[in-house]
Amino acid sequence: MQTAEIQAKLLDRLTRIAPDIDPRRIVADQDFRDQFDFDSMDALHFAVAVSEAFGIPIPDSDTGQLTSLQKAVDFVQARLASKA
Amino acid sequence: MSTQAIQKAGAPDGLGHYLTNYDEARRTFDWAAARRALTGRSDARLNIASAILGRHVAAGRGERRAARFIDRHWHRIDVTYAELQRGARRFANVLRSLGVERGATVATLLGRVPELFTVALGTLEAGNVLCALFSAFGPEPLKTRLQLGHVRVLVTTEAFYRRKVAGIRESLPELRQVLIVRDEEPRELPPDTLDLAALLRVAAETHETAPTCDTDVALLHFTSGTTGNPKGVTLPHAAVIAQYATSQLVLDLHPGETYWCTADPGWVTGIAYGLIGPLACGASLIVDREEFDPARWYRILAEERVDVWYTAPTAIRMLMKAGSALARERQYPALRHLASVGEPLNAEAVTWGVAAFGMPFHDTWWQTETGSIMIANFAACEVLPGSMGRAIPGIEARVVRRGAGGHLEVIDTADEVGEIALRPGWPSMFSSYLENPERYQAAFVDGWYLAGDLARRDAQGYFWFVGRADDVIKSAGHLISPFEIESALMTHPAVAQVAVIGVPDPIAGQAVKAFVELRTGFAANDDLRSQILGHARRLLGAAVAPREIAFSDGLPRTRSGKIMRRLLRARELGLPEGDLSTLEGTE
Repeated sequence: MQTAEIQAKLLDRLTRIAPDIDPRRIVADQDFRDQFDFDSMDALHFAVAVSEAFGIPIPDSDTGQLTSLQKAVDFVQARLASKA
Repeated sequence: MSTQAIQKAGAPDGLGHYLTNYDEARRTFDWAAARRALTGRSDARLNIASAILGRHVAAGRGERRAARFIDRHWHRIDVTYAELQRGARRFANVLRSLGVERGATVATLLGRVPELFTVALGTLEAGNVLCALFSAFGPEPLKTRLQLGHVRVLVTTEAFYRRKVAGIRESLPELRQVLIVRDEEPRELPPDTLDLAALLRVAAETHETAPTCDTDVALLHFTSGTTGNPKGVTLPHAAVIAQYATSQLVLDLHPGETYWCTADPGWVTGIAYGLIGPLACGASLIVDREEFDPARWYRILAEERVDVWYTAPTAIRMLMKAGSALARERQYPALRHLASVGEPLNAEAVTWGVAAFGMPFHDTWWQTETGSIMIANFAACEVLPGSMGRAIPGIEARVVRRGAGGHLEVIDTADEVGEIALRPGWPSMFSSYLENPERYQAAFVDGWYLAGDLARRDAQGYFWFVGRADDVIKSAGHLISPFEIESALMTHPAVAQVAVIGVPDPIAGQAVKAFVELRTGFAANDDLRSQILGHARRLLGAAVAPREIAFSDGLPRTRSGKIMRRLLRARELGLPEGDLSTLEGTE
């Protein structure tokens, strides 16, 4: 899966949980929590949504790796690569 | 009860528990002695800042570490009691230099940063009222609270100011000064704000503590009711006596011990037990500036050699989800006492503590209005998993029911459900609901304070939580008013009517769910749902806004037009619908 495709899918899931986020204004390498209201329950729901969207298991201990768009892209790419 | 009690092995080496025999402690405890132990005086003169900083510095303990702040990159900043005192005095002088009169309210909208301690303690030192606001609130809840609290000075960060305050500033004529804690890479200050660090730099380090007495208001915390505006709960300077005593009796916190309270400083726990009580005990506080992260939390518990840990059920359940194996990857040689607050701690979470750390979590119960812990499980006593514990020494707690003529009857039968009632008179009891004397009076009936929580009390005096007596939602430990959320949702052009309830959530206890009736011309679809949710989050903030929105063709109403949240909740949860005689459309 291409990076752009992964990113688009992540943004779709992110804005379903937090529709107040304008995806055009997200700074990819900045933590979500530093850019907008995004609490730990949002983070938990985002991990579940990412897991479902890409068919990859995400143990709760890994939710800390999804705290920014760039980190989430890297994480998903690595997991998809190891699955392939 | 079928619950298996968890027995204790006795006090750890070299440390006696503050409370070793529950019955004996209840017989011998008295608040006057607790006051003398803290202040060395018997009269009413009392100032929280002086009680928790001055006494340590005067006793030669000023160079001990009071707090260690840990940032995202694991940089640690240590602050001693003497440094805290100097910072507090500087801030008290800043307030004077700004012309802030004694008694005026100073609000904070901050995360867990060192400046929070400086500002909080300086505000109290100066005889001003501290109002700590929850930084996850959106602009609407903040505006309501800043207005209701007549807040004169706000201390916040550049980011919070730009995102949450700048847009509502015009509606806050009483807010005269906004002081900014600059970011690591400071930009130009927003217009009409001042740089806190610059003000502190030029302020003097000498200050004579305001001569407050125990009934003077020290703290203003907002909490939520079912209807109307949030309740501004005022706590007096005397609250420190109870926060100090319970930090010893319940948290079992000894001088010099390393203590970590994970509560947000925007709620009463974050101030009472994230700052005042443990500092009064002479503890060394760990303050993590980051939000919840399992691996990070275990690292802090281990590396910082935390002795006593006070956290919340939602966090414990999130740790449980991450698995006890992760917890067991590290050793916690110092850890000796675990406690929890915010909502009832389920039995599984209590016993999970044994699996992960070799000791149970001790549930504690209190609320903003009580100002300190009222019911608790104690370090030296057996724990009944799932129980809130027993009334602390100095507190008379019972369950009651309303009898004939509205009078209260104390329930003496074991295990019968009633409302939790406390006999007034403890030092941290709230002194008012701000500008709402009727509501304050209504909280006291026949010489009891009614807490609004339903529970049963067993034959041994252990309380077991049953539910709320009203429609207030408790999510992730925060009390949330359905009214406040409904009011925000009603401002969306598509929303005709709305009702908000709490639905069970495996992690947060309850999650906020909104049922929306649409105006004519709007079609119920995912896009509109998303728009309404986004609107709610922008106004209310992520922690308060609904997690779920359902469209409804007709919300159940009484014949007088009032939406029946009780019935919605029953239908949602598949519970009996109860008395429907007032339901609109019924014969």
